[in-house]
Amino acid sequence: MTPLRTALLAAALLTSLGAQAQSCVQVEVQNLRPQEGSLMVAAYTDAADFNTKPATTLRMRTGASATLSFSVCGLSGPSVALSMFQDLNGNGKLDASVLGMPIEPWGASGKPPGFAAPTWESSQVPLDGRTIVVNLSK
Amino acid sequence: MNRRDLIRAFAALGSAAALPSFAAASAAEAFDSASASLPWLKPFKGISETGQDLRCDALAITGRWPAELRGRFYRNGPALFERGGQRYSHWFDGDGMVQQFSFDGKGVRHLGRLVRTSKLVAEQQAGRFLYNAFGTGIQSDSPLQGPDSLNTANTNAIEHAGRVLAMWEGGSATALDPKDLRTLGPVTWKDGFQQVPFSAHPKLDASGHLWNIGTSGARMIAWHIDPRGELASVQIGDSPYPGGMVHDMAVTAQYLVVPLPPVKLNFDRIAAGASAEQAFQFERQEPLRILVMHKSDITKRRVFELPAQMVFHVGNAHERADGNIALTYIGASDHHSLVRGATARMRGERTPSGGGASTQWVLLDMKSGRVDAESLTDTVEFPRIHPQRVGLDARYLLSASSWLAHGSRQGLLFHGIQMRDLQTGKLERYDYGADAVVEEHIVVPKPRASHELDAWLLGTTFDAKRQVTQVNLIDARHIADGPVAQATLPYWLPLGFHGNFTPAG
Repeated sequence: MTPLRTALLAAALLTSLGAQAQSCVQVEVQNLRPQEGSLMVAAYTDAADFNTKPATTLRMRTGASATLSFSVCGLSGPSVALSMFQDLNGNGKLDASVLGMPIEPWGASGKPPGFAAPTWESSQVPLDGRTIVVNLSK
Repeated sequence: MNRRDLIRAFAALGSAAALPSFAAASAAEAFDSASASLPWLKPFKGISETGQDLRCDALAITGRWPAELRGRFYRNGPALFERGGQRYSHWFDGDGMVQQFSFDGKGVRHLGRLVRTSKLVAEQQAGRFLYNAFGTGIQSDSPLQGPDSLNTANTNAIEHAGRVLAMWEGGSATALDPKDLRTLGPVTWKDGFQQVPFSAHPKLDASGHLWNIGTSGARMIAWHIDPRGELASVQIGDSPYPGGMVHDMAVTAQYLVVPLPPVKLNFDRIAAGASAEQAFQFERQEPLRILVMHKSDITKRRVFELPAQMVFHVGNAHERADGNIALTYIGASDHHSLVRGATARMRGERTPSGGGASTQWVLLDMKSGRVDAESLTDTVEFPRIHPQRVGLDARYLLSASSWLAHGSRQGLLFHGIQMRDLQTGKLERYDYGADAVVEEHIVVPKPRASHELDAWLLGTTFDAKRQVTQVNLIDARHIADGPVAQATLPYWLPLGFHGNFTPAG
C-alpha cells in the first residue's frame, strides 16, 4: 500500500470526526480521460500535513466529459491544497513506471508544477469561495 | 505514491518554475530577414504549422537510378518550429517529421509526415506551443505526464520488424506504419516501462537484433529488441555520470560502448527562461567517459576516461583479437555546436566560428584500463559505416564533411562527403558545391555483395540556389565522380538528422 493510499484511508476515517468552522469549495478538474476509472482527491489545509494527513478525501467515478465539477467540504483555515490522480485501473493507487514516473493522470491545485512534484507552496490556494481549477497531466 | 516518490520521478527532468522565454513574437520575421542573405539556412524555417503531409510520386531523375536498388530510405529531423506566432530558439526543439523515399526499380517516390505525438496533437488543437522544448522554455498549464509529454520524435527513424520507429532521446520510440507513415503511437516494450527512454541511436546488427540505451537522471537503461521486434531483455543500471547528456552508443560482439561527454543539460533552467548557452554546461574539469558494459549484464562494466570532449556520434566499435576495443567517434573541443551553432541557425544567422568536430580513434585496453587516442584531421559529423559491419571491424567510415570555404558561403554547414579508410588513413571526397547543404549519407550494400565498397552512398542535399531537396546516390568505389543518379523533389525539406534504409523484401 502506497503512503498516499494509506493517507487517503486514514483521512477518510478522520473526516467523520468533524472540525470546527468547516466550509466547502467548488472544484473543477480538466483533462480527465472520460469513463476511465475514478478520480481520487486529497485535500490538505495545513503545510505540516501535506501529503501525509489530508483534511478530507474524495473518490468519484468519471463521466463522459473530460471535465468534472464537484464540492469538497469539511475544510477549515485560510488555504487549501488539492492533490489528485485518475485511478484508471481501479487499483486504488497512482501507478508508476519502473523509474518511478506516474503513468496515470495526476494534478494539483495552484501553480502547475511542470517538471516537479507538487509542494504545499506550489499547490496551496486561498479558501475564499472561488472555484479551484485543476488540470490533470497529459 | 508520496511526494518523495514524485520528486524522484521527475528529478530527471529538473525542477519547476516555468516562464516563457520567447525573445519576441517577431522571431519568425527576424529569421526571415536574417536568412535572406544566407539561402543555405532556408530549411531552418521549418514547415508550416498546418503540418500538412508532403508527397511527390515521381521525383525528377538525372543520371541512371539503378533498378536493382529497391527499398525505403527513411530520414527524421525537427521540422515544425513555429506555431501561433511563436518560434523555437533551438534546432533540436522542432516536432519530428519522417521522410520516406521509396525506390521500386522504376522511380523514386517521397512521403513526408509529421509524427503525431501527443504533444503535436495537443498543440495543434491549442494553436500554440504548450510544452517546454529542448532549448526553449514554454509555460505549461498542465503538469507533465512524463517525458513523452515533451517527446518530439525528431531524431532518427528506422524500419524494424514491420514498423517504423521514430526516435527521440528522452522518451518512448513512436511507431509508424511503413505503408503510409501513419502514427501508431508510443511503443511500450513491457508493462511498467511506459515512457522509459529508448534513445535515438539504436544499433541494428547484421543478424537483425536492435540494441539501444536510454538515460534518465542517474539511471542507464539497456534495451535488446529481437529481429521479430519483441523485447529480448531490458536492464536498468546506474550511470557513471548522472544527469549527463548521452546521445549515441556503439555495440561490439559482447559489449555496449557509450561515450558520456561532460555535458549537463539543465532543463530546469531552460524552463525558467534561460538560453541554451546559459543552461547547458560543459564541465571542462570532468573527463570524457567511455562506458563499456557487458550486453548480458550491464553491472559488469568498465569506465575509461579521456580528456574532456564533446561527443554526439559514434562511428563504430569492435573487439580486436586481443580483446581490446577499437572505437571511432566524432569529437569536439567543447559544446559550441550545441549551444551556439544550433541556436544561431534558428535566428537565420551564420554559425559563430569554432567548435568543429573531427574523427577520433581510440583503443580501450580491457585489461589495463589504458586508453590510446588519436585525433584525426578533418571537419565532419554524421558518421556511418556499412550496415553489415556494425559491431565488427569496419574499414571505411563515411561522414558529412566540410573542407572548403566556397566563397561567400564561408564554410557554412557541410558541402561534401568523406570516406575515410581507417587502415591507410586515405580520404575519398566528393564536393557537392557551393550551393549544396549536405546531410547525413548512409551506406547501402548492393544486392548480393558483401565487400564494404560494393555499396552505394545514399543521402540528401539541399540545393540553396534552386531551393529544393535532392536524393543522391554515389558509388562507394567512385566517390570522387559524384552521384551516379540524383532524384530531385519539387520542394525543400527541413534539414534532418538521421536515417536508415530498408531493402524491399
